[in-house]
Amino acid sequence: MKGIRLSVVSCRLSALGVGAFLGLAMPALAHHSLTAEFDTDRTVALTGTITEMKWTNPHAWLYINVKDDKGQVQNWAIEFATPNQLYRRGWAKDDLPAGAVVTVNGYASRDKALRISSLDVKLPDGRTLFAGTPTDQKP
Amino acid sequence: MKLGVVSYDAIDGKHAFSWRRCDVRSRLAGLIVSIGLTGSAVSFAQAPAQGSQAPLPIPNLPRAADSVCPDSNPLAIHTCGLEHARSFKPPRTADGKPDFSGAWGGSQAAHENLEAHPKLPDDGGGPSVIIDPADGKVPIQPWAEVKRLENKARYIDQNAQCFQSGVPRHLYMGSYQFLQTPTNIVLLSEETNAVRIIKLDGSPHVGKDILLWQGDSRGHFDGDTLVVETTNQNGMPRLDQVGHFYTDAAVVTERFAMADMNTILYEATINDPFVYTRPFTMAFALRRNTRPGYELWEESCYEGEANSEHLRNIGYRNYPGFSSKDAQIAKEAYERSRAK
Repeated sequence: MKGIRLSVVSCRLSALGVGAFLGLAMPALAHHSLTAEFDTDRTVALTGTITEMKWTNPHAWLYINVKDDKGQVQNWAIEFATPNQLYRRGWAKDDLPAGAVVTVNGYASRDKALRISSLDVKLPDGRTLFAGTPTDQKP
Repeated sequence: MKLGVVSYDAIDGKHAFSWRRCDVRSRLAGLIVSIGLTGSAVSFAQAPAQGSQAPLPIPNLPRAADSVCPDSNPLAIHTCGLEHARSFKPPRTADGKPDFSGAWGGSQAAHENLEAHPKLPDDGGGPSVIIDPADGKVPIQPWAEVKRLENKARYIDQNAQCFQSGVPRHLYMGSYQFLQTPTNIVLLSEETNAVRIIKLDGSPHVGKDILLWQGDSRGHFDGDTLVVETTNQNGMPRLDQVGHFYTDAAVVTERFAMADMNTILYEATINDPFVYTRPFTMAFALRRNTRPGYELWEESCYEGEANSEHLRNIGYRNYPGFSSKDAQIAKEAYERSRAK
């Protein structure tokens, strides 16, 4: 098992010095209200090994294995934007192969499940991709 | 088919990256679609040329800079749009009508909230799209404001469940394409692959007992302005994510007027006396997507829809809809409670 960092950041973001990634944290999920399902005051940073990427509508889902503080492997589900939005942004299906180690930032689920709404994902080649749905797509 | 893509120039330049190649065979299959309409057949969404070695861009939403009214403020757009629409000579169809065909995109902020709202992690924020009343506020009845707050707090938004957005919300939900014939204008939305047909043949609305997510739309031309009346609402869609709603009694009157080749001044007046104190009108620009190669893609929304289950797990419920009869009952109950 590769990989592995799990940190749950309960935050007001500026206080935790994570502004760098928040600079990328554009409002997400134009498809529907994000805050109903996810807590935008509680961000999560996960590093783990990809087990599966599902290019499904209305959201693509990435699954990664992450070790918790006790060394137990947990499979997290990470919600992305629609496949169309990801394709138009330049994502390719081979960007997220099973076995690759990625780091994902996102918002925690309100029901405490192992599920986050993604903000961005850092790929093994060093690229960081915005993964959510920007709401500044105003024409 | 391999298609090279470069993208993201307008949305997130920080993450722009170089030409890449992605397998879009599955996405392009089925993009060539013919729709049989009264007296005609129309094809759209052409696939990129076969065998091209040059990477092709996959563009996104329209650029406001291509418009004579680039301002994003609805009041400014309305003023500018009216001024230019008076003198602009729109392209014509073979039968001499203004030709609205093409790929367009509309306001994103309105689906978050029709009224002015700040930029938040969840919202892009923006000014009110309400131009009448002049204060930009939705003229909602007091009891209905209580219901609106309940909608927001308790019920799952229809978009999360892949239902159609309704009229007029589908026009502020991203990208769409208009197909026009002498007797129909068909509005295709990428979101949920929704289809709305506006009849132009002078036929009457469907019977009053037929209630529809997108309502029943009948249009005519007032000079160069397309005027559309939509009735037969089913009371299920909400107008935005903060719970503004309407009933089966609502009549939505829309006006589409071209201000230039790339801009439609869009107005929608919602008249539902069961919920609102007076009719109110929203306005914004529909902007033509001028990016080369732009096309609508399939969004098979239901295939992986999981959000509604997650939301039900934390207490949200499916919206049961709200009829004019429900509105009468709720209003009377509210007034009785206030009288005590």
